[in-house]
Amino acid sequence: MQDVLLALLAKEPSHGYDLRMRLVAALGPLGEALNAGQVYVALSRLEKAGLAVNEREDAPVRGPRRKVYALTASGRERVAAWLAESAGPRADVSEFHLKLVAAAESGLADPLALVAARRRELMSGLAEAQHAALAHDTDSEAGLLLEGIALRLQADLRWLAACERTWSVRAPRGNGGGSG
Amino acid sequence: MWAVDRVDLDVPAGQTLAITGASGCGKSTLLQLLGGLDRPTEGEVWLGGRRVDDLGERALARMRRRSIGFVFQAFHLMDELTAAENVELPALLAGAAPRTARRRAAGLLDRVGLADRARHLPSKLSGGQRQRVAIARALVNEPLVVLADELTGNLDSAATSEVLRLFDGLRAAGQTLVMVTHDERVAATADRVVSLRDGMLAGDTRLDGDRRGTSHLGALLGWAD
Repeated sequence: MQDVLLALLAKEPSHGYDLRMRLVAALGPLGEALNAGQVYVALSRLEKAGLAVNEREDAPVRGPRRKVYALTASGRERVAAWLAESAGPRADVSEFHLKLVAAAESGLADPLALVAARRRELMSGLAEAQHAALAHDTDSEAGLLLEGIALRLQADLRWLAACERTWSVRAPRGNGGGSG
Repeated sequence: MWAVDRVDLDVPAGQTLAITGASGCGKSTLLQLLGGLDRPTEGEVWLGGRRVDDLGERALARMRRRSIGFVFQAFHLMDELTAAENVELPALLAGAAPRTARRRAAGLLDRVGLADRARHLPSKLSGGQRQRVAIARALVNEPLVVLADELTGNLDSAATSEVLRLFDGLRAAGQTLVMVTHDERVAATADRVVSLRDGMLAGDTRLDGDRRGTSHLGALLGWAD
């Protein structure tokens, strides 16, 4: 979650309540489970680690004052590194989803480039799984495991195709990751 | 609006290429263009060093018979002919002597593991067996390239594995293969996977080096992280 919050801050300084609303918007019902305390704890950890600073306090017309956080230079570096690092074959759907949202919001990476890299990774895994599966009897224990792995990778690839469709409409390609 | 636009593909001899994409992306149109079943409005199609999109009808039909093997989702076997006769037919149409055609058909049915089903009608064969007959038929004129359109689309998982094992053997033997599929598991058996979106190339992944490895599988199991 720290990485996602940092990426959201890359767009503009913001306070905990707003960050939480943006996470809830990106995660839908999964975001409802996220309590406000988790966001504030994560923000204060980021501040201690020198990745974000408490820039100022906003005094809204109603309600308590809000600490507005901004990224530090090392925070920005960490976001870029997080977006560039491979998600790994076991990465779950919501983690990769948040990476795409964060990439688009921060403008630090092209969501379509992340999708392409992930497809490459998943297809390589599927090629290995299929090659191994064809060398084994379909009814063997090993064959059964390989089929499960292949089906899971296939499901991930199908969802990735949906991501590609959606993000190609939202974020026109070829702006070098400038504006998001 | 064109069904396929600005697609520049070069398939070297011996390569297995998979073309994927959502339905309506133009992948079947592309296969029809490659197979000389349709002609491009603009652009060129070359096969084995020869331009084929501007051939006359008769020359084109000849080229299709002799240089291209087709495999379809629905098998397209002749119901009233036996498995062996189905395989022989394109050889006879291409001018082979009946004895030669019979010999080649017998050899190919053996190669696809159906020597003992040679005299069966398609209706007596399972889906996987019918597709293997269709593959034998596609190979009978020793084509430069085999084009397959959703070759596992009508098959269950066990029959799909049978057919993919057979294709794997063809690839190992150096047969050039181009297959259109919406099944990522089928595409993953190719050397190279291109995806189309709205008739244009949207992705190009080379898997030649990946098949024999296990690094990604290890990572999936959490043993190589």
